[in-house]
Amino acid sequence: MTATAVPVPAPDADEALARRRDAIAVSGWGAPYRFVQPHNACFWVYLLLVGLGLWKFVTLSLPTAEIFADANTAAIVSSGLFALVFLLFLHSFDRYEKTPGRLALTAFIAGGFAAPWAFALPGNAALMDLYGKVFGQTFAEDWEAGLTAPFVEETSKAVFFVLLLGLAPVVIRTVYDGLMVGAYIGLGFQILEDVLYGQNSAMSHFGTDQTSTVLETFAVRAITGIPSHALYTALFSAGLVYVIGTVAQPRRVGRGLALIATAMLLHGLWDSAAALVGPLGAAAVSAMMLGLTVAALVALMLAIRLGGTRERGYLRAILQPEVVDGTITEAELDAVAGDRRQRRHARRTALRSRPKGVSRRREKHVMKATLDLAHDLAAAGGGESRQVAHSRTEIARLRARRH
Amino acid sequence: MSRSGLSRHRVPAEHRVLGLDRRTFAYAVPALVVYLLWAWLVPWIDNQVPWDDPIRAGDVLQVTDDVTMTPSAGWGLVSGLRTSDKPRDGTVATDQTVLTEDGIYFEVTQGPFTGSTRRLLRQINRISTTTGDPAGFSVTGSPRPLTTDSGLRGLVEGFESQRNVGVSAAFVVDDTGIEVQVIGTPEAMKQKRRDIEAMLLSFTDTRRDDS
Repeated sequence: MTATAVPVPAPDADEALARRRDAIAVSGWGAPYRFVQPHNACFWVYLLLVGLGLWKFVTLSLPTAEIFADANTAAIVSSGLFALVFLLFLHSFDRYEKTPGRLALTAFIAGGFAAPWAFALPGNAALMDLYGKVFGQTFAEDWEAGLTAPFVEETSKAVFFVLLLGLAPVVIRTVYDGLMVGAYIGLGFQILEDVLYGQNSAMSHFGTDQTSTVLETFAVRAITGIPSHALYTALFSAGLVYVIGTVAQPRRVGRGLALIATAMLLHGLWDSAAALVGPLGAAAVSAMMLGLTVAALVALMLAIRLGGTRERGYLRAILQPEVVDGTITEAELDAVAGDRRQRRHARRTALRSRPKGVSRRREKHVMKATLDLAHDLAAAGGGESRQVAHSRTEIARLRARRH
Repeated sequence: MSRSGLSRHRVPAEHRVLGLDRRTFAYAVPALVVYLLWAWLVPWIDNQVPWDDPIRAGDVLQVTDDVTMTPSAGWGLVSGLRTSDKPRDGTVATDQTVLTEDGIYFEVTQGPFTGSTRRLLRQINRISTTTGDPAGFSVTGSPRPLTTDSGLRGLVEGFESQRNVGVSAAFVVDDTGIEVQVIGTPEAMKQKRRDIEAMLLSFTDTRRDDS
């Protein structure tokens, strides 16, 4: 290979616009999500299963609502705060195509009511019983959690991701969509499971010191909460996108199964930590949990990196015509649509080459406004709209203002 | 087709089944299958498999880290650990120990508790009225002192519901509450009265026993 650099010609305006339209059509970016779809079997199955879960939740929780009032209040407040923080985190992480709010809510409710109460509660109890009957009490004490939750709970949450894939086939198309929607399902599961654990914990203290008992349980769950249901389901759902395949993501069965197996393995190992290394002492259990937390984060980062490549390609294709038109610079495009290293480098370049009089802070705002423009362009199907015009005006305003 | 991917009004004729879009079935069916698996099939299989862990003469159950009980031979152990069981995770006693015989359930629950035995029994009754037999739960008589063969002191009282009768007992041993509930049909409870009494009297604080 020679080292002669052959300059890649910049796409002309028509070609850039055609690529933008293709990117939006294939990725499903900006496509609306509608929950009520009477012709869609997924809609009715969703209603049925969420209804069953809600019914179970109410019939199990209502009789004890009065005597466990303090526990329920503490569980709802603490879990609600945890959910709020996690939702803010998810929202800020959702930098490419924003998950529509109603889709996130649909996922959260399915994960919170249907999966734990209609599926996991009877499934977990029966499977754990069977382990005790078949393998004896000692085996059950050690392994029942680790050999139950990864199968019952992960599949219970995963089928709701598949159901949502049928409800929003254009919105959920990429691995990144799988990660985000899966995280919302898992978060719902985690929060409602915490409420259940809160009640169990109050019950195990014979209904005394309910608030402090629940807060203790919540604190342990929050501190050790990184390898949580949100993370497991995000990985599992991303894996399902690979296994099922979509218009935007060609089928990659091996990669998908690897992600699914990773989610189940992490969950199983976490629940079996005490049995696996317990004989070595409490420090060994803590070390294993720390190791699993790191492994979970590495797996998540890997999945984000795998999914991010395609999303960045769409983002670049959507914004490229804006470079041709002069709305943003090539460096600014790289700063929002490059990979992490490219983004860091391009951001520095964009900041250095910012027009005279534009502050560094202002240039960062320009990049945020550029992302807003991409979302508005996607929502407009690549054409013009009032929002698109507004976003362009915002970029111009931010540039013009002197500091 | 709309941008949401599905027809907003009428499903194309070749895809329509009972007004539904047949193409969505592939996404809906897995949820129903997995629901049937976990909510119906596995619990049904569980019900078909009998408990087969009979208590043998000499077996002793560890109901808290320090307290043991001696079940009557022939009863079935549903959950709980024998003193000879040594799980890898270091658990000495499970939160709940359950024995069964002729439809009678002998359940021992342990947990942190700092109040008096009388208060524990009151709490047990409060919870039982909401979580127990939906046909109704009412205490019969007032609590009576119970001193086990090893000298452990607690309280015991009877209760009844529409179909069953039972006894509740409570012990508090070093900030650990122990709740015992025995429930069954009046006939079965009458037949197994000696076993139940013997098991209630067998609760032993092993530290005191050692000293």
